[in-house]
Amino acid sequence: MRKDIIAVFLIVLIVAVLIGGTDIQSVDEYYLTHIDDITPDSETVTLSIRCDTILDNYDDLDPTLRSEEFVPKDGVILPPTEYVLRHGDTAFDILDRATRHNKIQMEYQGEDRTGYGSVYIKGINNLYEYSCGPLSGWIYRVDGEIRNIGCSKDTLRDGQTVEFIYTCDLGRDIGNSTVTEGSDMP
Amino acid sequence: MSGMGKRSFCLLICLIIVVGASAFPASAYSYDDPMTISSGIVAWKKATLGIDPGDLLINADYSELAGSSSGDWYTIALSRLGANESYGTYLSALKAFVESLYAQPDGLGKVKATDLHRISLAILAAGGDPLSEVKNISGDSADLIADGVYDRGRVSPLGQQGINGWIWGLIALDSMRYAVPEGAFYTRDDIIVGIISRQLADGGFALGGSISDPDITAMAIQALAPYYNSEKSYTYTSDVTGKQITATVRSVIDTAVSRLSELQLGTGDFGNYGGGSSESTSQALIALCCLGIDPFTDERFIKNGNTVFDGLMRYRNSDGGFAHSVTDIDDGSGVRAGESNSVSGRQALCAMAALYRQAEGLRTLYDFRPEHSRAMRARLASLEDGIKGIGADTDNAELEGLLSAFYSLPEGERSYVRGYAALSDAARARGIDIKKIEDDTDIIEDEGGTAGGETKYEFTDSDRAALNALPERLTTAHYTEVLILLGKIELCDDFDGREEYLRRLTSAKSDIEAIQSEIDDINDEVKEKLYPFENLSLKDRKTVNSIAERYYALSEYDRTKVYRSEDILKAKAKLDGELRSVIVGAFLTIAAAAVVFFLGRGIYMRCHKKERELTELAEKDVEKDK
Repeated sequence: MRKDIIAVFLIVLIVAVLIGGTDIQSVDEYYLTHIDDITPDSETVTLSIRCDTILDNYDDLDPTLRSEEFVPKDGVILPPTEYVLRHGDTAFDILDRATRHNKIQMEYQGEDRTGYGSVYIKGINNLYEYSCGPLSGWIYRVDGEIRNIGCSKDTLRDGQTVEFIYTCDLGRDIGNSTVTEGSDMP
Repeated sequence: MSGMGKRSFCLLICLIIVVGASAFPASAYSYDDPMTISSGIVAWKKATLGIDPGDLLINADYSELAGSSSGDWYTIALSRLGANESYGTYLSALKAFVESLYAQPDGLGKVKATDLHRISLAILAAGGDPLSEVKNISGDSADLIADGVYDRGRVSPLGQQGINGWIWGLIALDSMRYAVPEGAFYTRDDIIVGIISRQLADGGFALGGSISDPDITAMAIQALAPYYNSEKSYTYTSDVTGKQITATVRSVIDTAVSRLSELQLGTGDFGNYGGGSSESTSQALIALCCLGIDPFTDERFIKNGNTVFDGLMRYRNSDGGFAHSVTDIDDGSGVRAGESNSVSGRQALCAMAALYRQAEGLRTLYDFRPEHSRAMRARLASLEDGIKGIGADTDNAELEGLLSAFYSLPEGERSYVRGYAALSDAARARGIDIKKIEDDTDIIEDEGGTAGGETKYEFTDSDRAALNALPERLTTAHYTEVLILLGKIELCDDFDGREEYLRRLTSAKSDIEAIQSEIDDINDEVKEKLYPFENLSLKDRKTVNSIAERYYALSEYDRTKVYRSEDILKAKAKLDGELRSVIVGAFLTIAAAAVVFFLGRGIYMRCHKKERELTELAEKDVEKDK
């Protein structure tokens, strides 16, 4: 009879393990695969990507881009989404991770080549600088304020909201005129 | 610098008389300063890059910036200052970079036109030829002036990025006074009109809006300057008012120069939104030099005794570099506007090069043609002397003689006659038919032009050592070095072992290119196949493993060129974990089944044991009964 009890216990145990999941990972692996999971302790930021200014300037848009594939009907390329803020993350890191994870096209110029010591965002979702007139391109805001420093120099803090917004008028169409004009030597 | 004093003194005197300005320079600075200030900028730049003060700035590491704003402008400015640098190194890297642009799937379509313009200037500065230096994917010579300027419209309008495209297109086109062939997408006049039709009501130019911007106004002047002495009238529709205008480039420049003068701040500098910036001031200084205006004496550009040069010096820091702003604002990002930075530095260096060239009587900053011969200098000087002598008592025959001398100059040299406008005005006032004189005058070409010889190179021992030091297993880190050695050996005459060196370097080049394309491929695969993570399942295990294998097959250095490589490890860890779960799950299921089976069998056996015993007992009883 004792054998039976042990056997029943074994079965219950195995079934419990099977139901409970058999994820067996080392600590490193666990950390690696769960790094972007949001937990109550996570520091996070919220990111969104928009191009609604193009909707008001559709005539200036490069004809090859006049499609919902590039300019969504509501101008929203990525709705506000919460991302885990890893230590030292910049606005660029979050953008890079978000566009990769969501398979949104993004092209940038590396830090060493711009001369500003920061990366320069050339295009997102195939919308590039000058795609919608000579004053168009990508700018970004942190907590509602347009930032004039490069996004890879801009270290974020817990709870901040980052918006990458397409402007057709050097930021003036977003209600801000403090964007320095791109009138430097090319 | 030794021979510069006298010449610059002469030039200074000429300019003072030409512009009729004060004979007492107001500035504390002079034409002797540009070289000192340039050295300061270069010293600062070397310090930021960790280059020894005694070494060249343009080395193999620096050449990795070839084709970018941050690399090209220093190269252009240093070359125009006549600085001794390793330009061949830069040219090799530049060539490889442009060839990679041509090899993109959509060619030059996504490359900004102004990037091509800047690159053309950089190729010239580094001693190359924008018409033939670079090969396109089919291996033919690519013409950057055609593809970047007069035929750019076949890919995308030259003005796609605004007035900048027209301005820098014209600067690139005139860098060697390239001719525009018949049948080109744009004529030279189209490009000139592209600029002048955008002149604002206030006389200046801007990227957008109706208020002129000092930088763009200055750059428009720089581009138009070669046409200042042209009598040609352009009829065009203003992009601003929509009205038809007929004007010469000279009249456009004159109003732009007046506007630029108005934009100058009381401290001598220029800027946007009320505040000054070193970059705006550098551009203004370059514009004045392109027109041959002396910034030290021309009263239009001296405010409260401060010249443009004084204005620019306000931004100079003790480290030798230049800052964007005089006030050191810290916006919380750690970037301080009062600190020396690369953008301010490169523009100030260009301004110093422009000033130095003016002092030395060399061609203007963006005019890369061979320098004037002695004979040409003499012709220009005597014509300028004659123009200076024009007064009320000058008779018509004398004016006509001066005009003939002017029109006997090759067209491309006429822009170098300072003060021509005074001659033109005087002739017009007397009713002299300038056009007729132009038509009647034969052009006398410049015979003493300086002919550029083929550059030859000797493969040195240190080149040999560098070649032999290349490791067996190459990485992309060696690419620039290989290109440089290859560039050198291609310039060498045949020598013992050249063939072998050439073969080794060519194969090294293609090996590294293969590694690079593998890296590019892995980057594409990662982007394409690994996201979103949640959707990865065991089906994708083969793909993920193959990406991981390819990643590990790269050298340690090349692995750093794979973007977000942690995601490869992450995907692999996730799927390995899942596979392990499946195996363990299967194993446990089998184990559970086995336990159930044995348990069941045990119970069954126990139940039947009694039955058997009873049967056996019964059988025994039967036997007993017998």
